[in-house]
Amino acid sequence: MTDTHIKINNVTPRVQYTGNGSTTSFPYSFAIFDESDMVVYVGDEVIESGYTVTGAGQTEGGNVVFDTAPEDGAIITLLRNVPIERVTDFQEGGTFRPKNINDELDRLTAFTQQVQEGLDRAVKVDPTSSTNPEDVIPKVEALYDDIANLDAVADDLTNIDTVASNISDVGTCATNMEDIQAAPGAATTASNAAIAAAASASSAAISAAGTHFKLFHHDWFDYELDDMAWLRADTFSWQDGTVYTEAYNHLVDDVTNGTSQTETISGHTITYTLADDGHKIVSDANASEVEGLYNDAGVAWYYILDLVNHKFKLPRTKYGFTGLRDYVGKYVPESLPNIKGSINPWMYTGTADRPTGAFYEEASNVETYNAGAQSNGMKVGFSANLSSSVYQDNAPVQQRATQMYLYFYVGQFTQSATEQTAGLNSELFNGKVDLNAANLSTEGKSLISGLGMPSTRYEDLTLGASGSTYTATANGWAYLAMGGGTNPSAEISSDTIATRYLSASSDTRTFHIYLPIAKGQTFKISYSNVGNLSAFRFIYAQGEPNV
Amino acid sequence: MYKALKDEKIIAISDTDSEFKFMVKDSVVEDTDHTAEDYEQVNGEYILKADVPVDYQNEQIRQQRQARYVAESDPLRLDYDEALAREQDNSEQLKQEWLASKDKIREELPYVEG
Repeated sequence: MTDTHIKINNVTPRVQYTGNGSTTSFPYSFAIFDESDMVVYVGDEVIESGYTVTGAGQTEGGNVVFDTAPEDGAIITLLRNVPIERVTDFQEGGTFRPKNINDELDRLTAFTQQVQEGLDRAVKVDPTSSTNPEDVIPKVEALYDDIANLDAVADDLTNIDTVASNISDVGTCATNMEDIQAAPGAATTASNAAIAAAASASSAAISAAGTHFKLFHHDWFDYELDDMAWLRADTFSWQDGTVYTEAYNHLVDDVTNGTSQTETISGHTITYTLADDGHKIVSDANASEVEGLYNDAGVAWYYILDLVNHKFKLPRTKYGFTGLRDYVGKYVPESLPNIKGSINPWMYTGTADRPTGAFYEEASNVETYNAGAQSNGMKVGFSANLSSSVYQDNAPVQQRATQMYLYFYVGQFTQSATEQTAGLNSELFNGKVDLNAANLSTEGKSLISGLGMPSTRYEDLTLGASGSTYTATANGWAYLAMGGGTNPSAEISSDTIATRYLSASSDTRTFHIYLPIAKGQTFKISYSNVGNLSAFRFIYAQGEPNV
Repeated sequence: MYKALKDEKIIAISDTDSEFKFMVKDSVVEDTDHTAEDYEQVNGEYILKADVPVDYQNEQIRQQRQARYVAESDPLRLDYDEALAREQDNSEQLKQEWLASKDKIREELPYVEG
């Protein structure tokens, strides 16, 4: 009998495969002494059953054959794990068999390979490192505790690379870290300053416009506001609901949740929706009744809402008031200040009992008598100016009046980009422009007053038979110049304006007739015994385009 | 030429104007057979001169004669009346001048034969 034994080759006692879902047999090339020396992993789990190990005791190894093929992609790890223990005990004087020695040396070699394989997978420090390996593990554990952040770092490796490539800038940042750290504080300070400035501006606007900002709060102001949150009501203009959104939406809610009511005032029956907040909203279809009420009664305290065109009108009244200002421009109530003062009938020059208020000492050492005895008294004067600066010397006490404007606070407003660019000015002026022609410049007034006058532009027309009619296509003047003939006569007549008639007994005169004609009106020209026609033309009014 | 029509009457004519702007009319038609000179205004419309009624023509002549009597003959009549009242020797001469003036007007404005 030949004593054979396995030979432990220089082979790492560990091999891995990736399953494909069909392969069941996986070879290994290292030697094992017993089937139990093979540890089989599928993934991270040790598999105890479901496979058989062949080749135990063979130098060239064998196969691990699974009953069922591991799943596709599964990692199969075959590892030799020989129990490190002596299984022989050679006795003194006993039989010495080389196989036993070889077997034991094989096991020792297997042990060593097994340990080496484990060392190969262990965390080690460099031979030249001064780091104590025992110190590594706590740090590894600390890193492991922070594994989530490490994963995050791993996921963000691209950005880390970017940082690495810009490391000089990072260095600059580090150099300026103090400033960088101070930046948020500075930004906050700046922000706070901006907010404070805005609040101050808002406060100023609020102060200028009043102190109430409840929606639809209304107030009289002695100057025109340029704040779009305040709409001037006395112009009774339509306001765009897509711009003044808060006010419009509020009125829509009022209509939606209110109740229908009818009331008759000054002969005008108004159908409206009464909202919970007391607002009365009339649809634009009934706006004419509100207009009539305003004309008759002077007050039409209804909102008018046009849901189709998304616009609204504010209430209005004719009954504003004219505020008053003192001579330094301050607003004062509509009354004159009191005039008061005091004098003592026994006041003497030089005494402490002096005239007060509007009374003053006009002259001293004026002879007077007290109980029959002569003494020096004072001459008392009176000046209202001493009581109040409103009463200026030699000036009338009538105070200057100032125009008051009714404004409604309409809250938030929005504007589209188009409105902000193309229509901004229009929106700004909507309802806020004072259309009082008295405020126009002299040139403006002259321009307006001259619009109805004839211009130098005219249209020569063909004169039809006497009695023919004509329709003006523009505002202007009909002009006729005729003469000659015997006892000629001519007439331009208009039912809506007047008639101009001229006749002449001479056959040598040329007469000229003008008649103003409004655009669209018809006029008639009649004539007789006219020898010749010098001109028949339509002269356009100034400001009227040629038609 | 162009004619402006209203209520089937020619209310205006022009050799150049085809629009008759401002005029209240029903239509404008072109007439290539005539010119404006061929038309005359009669009672608020234009008709061809050849179609003007005799009575209308004679009325026009009468009015023209009347106007010339006033302008030319009547002063001579006044001169004659004054000379007659003053028993001047030339009264008869003035009468003849007056009558001659009227005859001259009649000759120059004869009535149309119907």
